[in-house]
Amino acid sequence: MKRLALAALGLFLGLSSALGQTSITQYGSRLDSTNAVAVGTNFNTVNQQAVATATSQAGLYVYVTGIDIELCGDATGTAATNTNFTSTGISGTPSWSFSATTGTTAGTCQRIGDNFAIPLRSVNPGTNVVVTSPTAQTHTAFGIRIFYYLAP
Amino acid sequence: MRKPLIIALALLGALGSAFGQQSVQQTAKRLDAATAVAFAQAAVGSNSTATITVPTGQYAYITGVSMDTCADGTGGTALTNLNYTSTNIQSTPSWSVSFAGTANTCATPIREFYATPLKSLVPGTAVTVVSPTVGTHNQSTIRVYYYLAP
Repeated sequence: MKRLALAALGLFLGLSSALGQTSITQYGSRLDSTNAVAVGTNFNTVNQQAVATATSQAGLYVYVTGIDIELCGDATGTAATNTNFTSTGISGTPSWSFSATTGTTAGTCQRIGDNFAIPLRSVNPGTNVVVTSPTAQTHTAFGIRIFYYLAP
Repeated sequence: MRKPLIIALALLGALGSAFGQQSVQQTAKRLDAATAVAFAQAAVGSNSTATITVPTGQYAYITGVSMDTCADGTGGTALTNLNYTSTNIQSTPSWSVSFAGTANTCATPIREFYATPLKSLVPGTAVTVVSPTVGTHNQSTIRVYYYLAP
């Protein structure tokens, strides 16, 4: 009788534990997944320049899987005219451009940037990838995220 | 007594170093990663052309295209059913844009990123993506992500 009760208790505990757990996908480690995010300095802080740096290591490339750029005004906002976020460490040194009206107020942000299905490799191994916002703008906050992984 | 202390210190150092470092993905070099960007941004009022220069015997493999069209502080140049056009891609696809051209605003960004790369048509021939005539108070920016291979 005692043995039966113990078995029932064990079964109950096992079931509760299984129900409370997230199931784990039976799959190998994904070796090309993004495993790092370089977040820009002064994130979402008005009147500050932002710089995001994906730091490389000797002999390794930065594989960029996405670049997200945000700019949000405060309650006052400032106009921006044909302004650019620039990059280094990428062949062709692309920029991302935007214009914004004085109506850029709290709750209205612009989001630009590129998210890649196939990663973008840095120009040289051991070279950082850097995305830099325009110079500080009154009443405007910048946000940058570089999604990446390092590999040969 | 001294030896265990040294081992403990070494272990602590190694752990600290491991936590402080960006982990490296244990994968082989990705040979189909985009390795360059054909970037073009002409001055306000001028048209932009992004060009991939393709060496003899090679193709451009395009992994994505991305275009922005933004007005300057004056604005007032509307764009109606215009197109970004391409050369040396099968069927010469275009990407459409309409834009009110209001001062300090941008058109809806164009973003296309391919799960499998788009191969250029003729080997050794440049691929171009050309903006429409943007008018006096607009500026276009083009990014074409690619790599070169046989």
